[in-house]
Amino acid sequence: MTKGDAEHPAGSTQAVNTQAVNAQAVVESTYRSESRRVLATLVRLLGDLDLAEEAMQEAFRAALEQWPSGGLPENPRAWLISTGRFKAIDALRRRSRVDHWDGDRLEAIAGAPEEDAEMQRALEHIPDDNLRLIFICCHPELSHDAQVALTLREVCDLTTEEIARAFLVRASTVAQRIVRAKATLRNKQLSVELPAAGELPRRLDAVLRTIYLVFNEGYAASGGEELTRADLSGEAIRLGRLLVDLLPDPEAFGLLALMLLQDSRRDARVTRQGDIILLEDQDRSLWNRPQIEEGRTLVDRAIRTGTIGAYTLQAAIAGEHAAAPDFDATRWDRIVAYYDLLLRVEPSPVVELNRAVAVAMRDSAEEGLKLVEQILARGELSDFHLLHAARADFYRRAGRREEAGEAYRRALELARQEPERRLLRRRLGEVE
Amino acid sequence: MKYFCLGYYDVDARGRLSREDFAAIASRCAPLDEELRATGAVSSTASLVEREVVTLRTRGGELSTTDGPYVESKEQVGSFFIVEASDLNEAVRIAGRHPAARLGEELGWAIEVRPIAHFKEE
Repeated sequence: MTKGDAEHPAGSTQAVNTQAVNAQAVVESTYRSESRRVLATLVRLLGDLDLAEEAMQEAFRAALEQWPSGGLPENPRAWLISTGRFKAIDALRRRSRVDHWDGDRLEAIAGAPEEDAEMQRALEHIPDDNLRLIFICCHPELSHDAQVALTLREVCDLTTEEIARAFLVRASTVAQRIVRAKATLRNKQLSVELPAAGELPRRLDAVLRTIYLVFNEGYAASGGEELTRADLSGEAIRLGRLLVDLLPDPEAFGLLALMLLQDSRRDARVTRQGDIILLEDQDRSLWNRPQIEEGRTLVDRAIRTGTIGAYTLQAAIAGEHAAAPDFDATRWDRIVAYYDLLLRVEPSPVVELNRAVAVAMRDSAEEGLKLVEQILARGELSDFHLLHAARADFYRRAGRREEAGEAYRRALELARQEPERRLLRRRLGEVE
Repeated sequence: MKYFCLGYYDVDARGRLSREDFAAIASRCAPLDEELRATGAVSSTASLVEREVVTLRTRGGELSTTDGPYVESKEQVGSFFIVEASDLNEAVRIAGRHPAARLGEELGWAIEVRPIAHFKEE
């Protein structure tokens, strides 16, 4: 046996290879579990989304090179954050030869406290960092489209192409939204600070609205590839859970509950052909019971805080529907009471319309009609197809077929989504 | 995902610029090029000869060749490179370090980023 053979017996090459494969698998699984946290902390340390993303990619690239031979670091997350920060300082140093702006930033970043203390602090602040990243992506200075795109990309780690597919727009459109949003954040220097206590409610509203927008985009039966759209609702629920973990605000509980309860009916609300199945006709055995339980528990928890907001009230209403064993057993009295509260928290003609539908169920179709006529008399929602659809249903149930037909026709003129139009045509046929 | 990046320039502007001004811009390219290479995400970088372009096409069932680029325009392709990135935004961020994205306003420089649908290296 030669010396070379002793140093490299046949088996050990394989062992090294297996080790390398394992290390690569470890880097990949670390990416899945840690990349958002690493990114969030780098955003705080570097003060810029683009720079932080670049630093994170570089850090994982370095991990792929070094972990197979050097072994796994004791604390991979700390290693990645620290490596990312140094990579960013290197990059800025190179760039400062070209770009004065980068040079200024280099001073700010490289002048940060010593490494050990800095890393210790960085790790202690991870939950704050994640929350900060969500607040950054949902900054009120950004458009709704931009908030949604940025949140899905930076917090949920969806690719630009995946976001584009889910929203039925071109990838270049989404890419541009993200690039512009980042430029806005950078130019206005909005990126790094968590909102102050006084500003929190307004900022949290923007976060909740963004998450709900993502959810509704996935929930609305407005066409597109169904799978991708259901995924969007899933992402929104995941975001809702993350938010509840980071910031146990009553409305965060309320929003998560609302999404879980609405989503629990997903399998029962449309036919295989894409036709809408109304609540009263749905097969309730298809409703997702564990999700309903979880949603209702969250509603209770939110209500017990004593601060009851619009999301919690909508969730409470959805919870009442979910709790009824069949349509006739629905507690319309409670639902009307929740709508009364909702009108006080967030007065709007649409909420009034929904309350009118509940009143019609609790009392009579005539009572519902009266309330809808009041909304119309104020000149509100006269072009809203759902108002005319509700009016038509009330007339139909009151046996006033001619007026019902007229209202269905008006609703058909205004409705845009095909499944809704099919439902309206079906109803119109019933009264003609 | 791979993204094909094309570097454009304005042919007339190139002719108008003095030798000194052009040299000043060229001297600022090297650190950007170096940085682009340092990302490890760029391959197949190429710059193209300005003249001697031939376009081939079949017209009336016959192969014809013409002198000059397919699109007659003052903006011409001067270089290309390929970026490996996880999505379009990462590709845009990386391509954004290329000299033609950061410099050469007076030369009409620009970078176009295009997703590659199918890629095969022979």
